[in-house]
Amino acid sequence: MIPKPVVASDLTKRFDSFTAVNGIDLELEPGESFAMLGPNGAGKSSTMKMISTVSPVTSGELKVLGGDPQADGPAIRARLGVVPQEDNLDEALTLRENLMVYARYFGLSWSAAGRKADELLGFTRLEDRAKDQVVSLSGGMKRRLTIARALVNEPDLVLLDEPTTGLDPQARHLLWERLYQLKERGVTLLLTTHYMDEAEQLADRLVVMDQGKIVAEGSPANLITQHVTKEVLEVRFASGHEFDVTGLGLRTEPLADRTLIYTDDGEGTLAKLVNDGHTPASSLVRRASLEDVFLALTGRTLVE
Amino acid sequence: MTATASPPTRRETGPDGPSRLGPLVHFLEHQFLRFRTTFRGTVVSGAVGPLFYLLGLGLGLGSQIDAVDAGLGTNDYLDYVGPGLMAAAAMQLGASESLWQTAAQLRWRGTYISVTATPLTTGQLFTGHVLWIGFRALVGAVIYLLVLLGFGVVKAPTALLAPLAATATAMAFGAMISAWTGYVKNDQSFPVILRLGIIPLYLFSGAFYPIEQLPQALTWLSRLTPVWHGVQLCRGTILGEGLTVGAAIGHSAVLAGFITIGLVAGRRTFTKALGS
Amino acid sequence: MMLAAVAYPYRVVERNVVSYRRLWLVLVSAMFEPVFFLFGLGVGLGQLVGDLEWYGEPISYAQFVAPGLLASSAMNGAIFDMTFNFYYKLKESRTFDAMLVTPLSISHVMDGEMAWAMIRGGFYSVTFLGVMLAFGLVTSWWAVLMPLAALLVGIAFAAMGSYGTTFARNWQDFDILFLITQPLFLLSTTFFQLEVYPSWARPIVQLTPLYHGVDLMRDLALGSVDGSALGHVAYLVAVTVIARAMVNRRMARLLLT
Repeated sequence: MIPKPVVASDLTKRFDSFTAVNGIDLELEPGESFAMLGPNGAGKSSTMKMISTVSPVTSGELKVLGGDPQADGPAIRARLGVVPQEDNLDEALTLRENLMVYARYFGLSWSAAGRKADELLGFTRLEDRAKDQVVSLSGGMKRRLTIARALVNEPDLVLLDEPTTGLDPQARHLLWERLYQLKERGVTLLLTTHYMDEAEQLADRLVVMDQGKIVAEGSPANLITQHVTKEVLEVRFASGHEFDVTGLGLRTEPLADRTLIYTDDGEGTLAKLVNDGHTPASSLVRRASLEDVFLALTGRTLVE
Repeated sequence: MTATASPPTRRETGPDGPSRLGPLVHFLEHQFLRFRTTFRGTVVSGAVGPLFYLLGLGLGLGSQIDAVDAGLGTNDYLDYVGPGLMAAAAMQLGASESLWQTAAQLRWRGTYISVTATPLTTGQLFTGHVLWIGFRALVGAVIYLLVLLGFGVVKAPTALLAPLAATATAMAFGAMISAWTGYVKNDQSFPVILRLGIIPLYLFSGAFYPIEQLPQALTWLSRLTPVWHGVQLCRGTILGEGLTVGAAIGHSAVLAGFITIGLVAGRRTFTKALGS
Repeated sequence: MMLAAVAYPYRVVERNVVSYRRLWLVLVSAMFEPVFFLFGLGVGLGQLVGDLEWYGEPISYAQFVAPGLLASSAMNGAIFDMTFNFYYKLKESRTFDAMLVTPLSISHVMDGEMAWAMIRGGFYSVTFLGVMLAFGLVTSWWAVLMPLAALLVGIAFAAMGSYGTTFARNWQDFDILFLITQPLFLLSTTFFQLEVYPSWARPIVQLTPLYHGVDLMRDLALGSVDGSALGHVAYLVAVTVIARAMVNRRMARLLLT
């Protein structure tokens, strides 16, 4: 039987008096794509660092690829690919050298490292830049190279800490497509993100984290049906317009600039508002997303 | 309380419109504000660095040297080496400020790129950059002059002019090397410039012994570099002898020439570096 | 198959070799630094100083200063790799973080970085020894041990330098490094004999690490080896072992959190 890639129970990480991860349970299945969703400071990166065996566990149990991170660190890392939040590529080296030198750390021979580097430069569409210095790359290219670097050892589990933060839409889509291909090859992916669309695109299953704890768990679709309605009506009233939307009998969420009304029939609710003489200055009916799930669970928005 | 905000009716540029030198002054003001964080580096390289040489070679080794016998023109070796080190240290400061620090502002961290979004021209930017290096050298040299005073090396009131000579030396190297930094795309040449350029110039600058002792070719080579002229000026003004007014004018003219060459070159390379 | 304790540091050395392939001029230029000091100061000042006396024998000033310069350049070489470059990899490019999510451990990384600094320093000491030989500044067979002594000086300063660097908060903090290494270079009997100091100051000088390197090197070059040479070696070994253990712990505190 293949061991589960990650099994954590009551996993906790404390820094002096600050508790970054507060007793979480996780279980990843081989070959699945699993996301940890949450705002900055939710404890996602600390969890990732413990799983990558770099950060010692404060208390609780953690097994990575069947091993104990403290005792079996090198053996675990040999089968792990890590994409950290900030690119830490080697700026003294070219793209190809980055991959080759890294492959050597995993024990590949120079010739095997060269073949692997060329293959991964192709996979991440960087083959034209093989001999360039890392400094000359755009943000999206650096990210792709970091992902290529995480694959030199053909890992069973790839950890991606906010893989697309700060990238333009085009670069994000290219990355998503490559990550999807990895998943198809049977590689287990564990990623953190604070983008809803990313989790919806990539994750089979996800946990929502807030202040070091897991507040919800499930597939993206499940979480949406469990915690919010099918549609969301966003309304904005002209300043001075006195109207209490809580009187509608629906769950509402007042935000700084607009109000969200959770309803299974957005257009119908809007028509009713207009009928009652409360025509909003602007309105929008949209499908509910993970963003709404997070808001419903924590009362806060994800990206502030 | 109601405040009626009246729209600005006049721009604050004075009767003759914006001053041509205004942006340059603002640039220097900005650098001056940053000086709180860079001041320590200036004191270390401009004053403490030469102080260590003064202690090690001037006092320590100097105790083994009979300056009169050696024909150095001073009673003590300390008197010989102390003043020369002022100019040599200024060269070092001018060079080191012009390499990584300048490249960082020009390319990596982009401080200078944001400056060009203001009315400052790239030519003014380069002039300001060199003036700023000169100012830092001046601060270092004045502190070091006080050290020399404490050691009893200062012999004449003309010593007050020595920091100006050190400033000019720093500006000559600052302008020329900054021009180079504006020209190159990366920092690969920087350690080579320091090791194969600045270190030998430091050692053969005439600060430590008369370069006339060297083989004749080296003597002449040394005289072609700005630092030798800076050393002659510093030594002559601090000791108050061995330097005629004519020679002083000559040395100053050479330094001015090097500064001019550096300014002309640097204005071009900076414009190119920031234009792309 | 090589043992992990050798194979992994070896790959860290390889990384440095690859990164310097295009920068060979940077490597080679450092070779000239002690040579410039030898001819710029040793020969020039030698004319002012005249001959010195060493264990009752007259020696030229260049003979006196050259071994000291070899020890100092071993210090400077190690310091450059293990402070500036070390800080860059530790805090700016975060190269060490990237290494530590591979099978490498902190001691592999440190061993590799130290080994690279030693290889580089060893190359410089051998070339400088060649210059000394060519100019007749070596008078003893003990001199064949000088590269080894240079490695010992280098590794001691590599360990101390990297340890100190783990405390640096920014590039400006490297001013402090200059304030330590520059007086060591100029005041640790590289340029003049210990006897120049007043008697109360001599024990202070003898406590500093570079003094032991300089004196050891001079003993080897001039053939004045006695029991004190063993004392110098013991001092440098002790410094290395202690600093090396401390730097591993500091690195774990910084990187494995």
